[in-house]
Amino acid sequence: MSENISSGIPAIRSDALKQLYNTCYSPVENYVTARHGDVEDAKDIFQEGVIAFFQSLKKGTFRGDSSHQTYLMAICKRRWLDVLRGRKILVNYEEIQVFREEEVVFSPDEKKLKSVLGLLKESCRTILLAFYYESKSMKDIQTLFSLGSEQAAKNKKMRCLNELMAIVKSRRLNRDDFKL
Amino acid sequence: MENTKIELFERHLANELVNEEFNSFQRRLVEDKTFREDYDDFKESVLLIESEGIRSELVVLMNKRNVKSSQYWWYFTVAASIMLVIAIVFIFQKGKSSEDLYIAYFEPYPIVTLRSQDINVGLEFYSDQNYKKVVEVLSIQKALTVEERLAFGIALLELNQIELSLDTFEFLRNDFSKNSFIYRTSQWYSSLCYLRKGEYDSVNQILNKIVNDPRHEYITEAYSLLDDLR
Repeated sequence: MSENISSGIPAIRSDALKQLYNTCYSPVENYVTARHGDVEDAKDIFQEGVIAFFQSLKKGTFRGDSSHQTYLMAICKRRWLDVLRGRKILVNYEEIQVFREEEVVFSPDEKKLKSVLGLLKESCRTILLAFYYESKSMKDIQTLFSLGSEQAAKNKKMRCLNELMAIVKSRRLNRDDFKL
Repeated sequence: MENTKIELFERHLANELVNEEFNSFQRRLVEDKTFREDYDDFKESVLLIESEGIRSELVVLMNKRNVKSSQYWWYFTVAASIMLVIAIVFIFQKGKSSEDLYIAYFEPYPIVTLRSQDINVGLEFYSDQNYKKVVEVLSIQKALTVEERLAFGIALLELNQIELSLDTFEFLRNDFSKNSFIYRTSQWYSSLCYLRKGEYDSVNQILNKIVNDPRHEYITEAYSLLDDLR
């Protein structure tokens, strides 16, 4: 069920996301708040973890050796230990060992993700989200954004995507920034 | 990049290319470096947008939960207040011995175990409130996690092994900053240790620290216990 977060059908994806949140958020919050973090830290870590999980499903790098919950939990734990190290807080050596043994992906740095999308105009971001994430039709997008025609909506979407792709390319085809 | 190319990429990503179209696309990926790089950029861009969508949806879910939690918190506060009044009346009627107060205020901390990956017998016994077995199992375990150490301390407290319990909570307090939840929880249970020992000065000292920390999870209990001790 959790793997449905990578579904192209918004309703199925939303249900899967809700299920993932209901089953996995509390353990992540308990883990983070028991180790020098607060609830806001836990929320950030959970978001990063879910995004990393989503990206590994999309890229086909999730092998399915462990359950989705275990995998997501491992990503979040490992990410939190990285944050603690960044904050110069001593981390229990045994815990680090445990996570090294688990072959989990690194979560993307959400700041980098935001910084790339932050370079786009708000209207562009919304149109791209409507098309690629919410799977809205060009007709819907035309109505939503009060554009003159479906063709105008399509042109706008293409312009926005080209802008985003140019940013991605200019960042040294900054693949390192997005690498999982 | 021209629209036709992007449309082709979109169709490939949506698995809409058939037979020759698909084969020709795959050939170009292998033979045409620019085409391949453009396709990679396209996929990366779409992935970024989708990831942003996931993030936004999660934020909405988390905000909804916060609103719900605050509603539940109100009901919980009312229920807890009623329970507290009942407990106080009960204690008053029986005469406030330290053991009576301890019984009224002791609640095992609800430790959530991550059963899918951390199969832990000690914590299983803890959730069954089988404290003797908790101590048996955890005292021979090589290294304890934070949750296990907390469970260990609480089990010792319930078994009236106060000195060992105090040592355990002190260990946790030393290991965590004052801002951490574990520190504050250990502080509360340490006060219950002293209460059980009948060392009221130490109890008062800890409780006064708790009531001076507005974020403390046990502030209500601490105020109430201080009142009972007066």
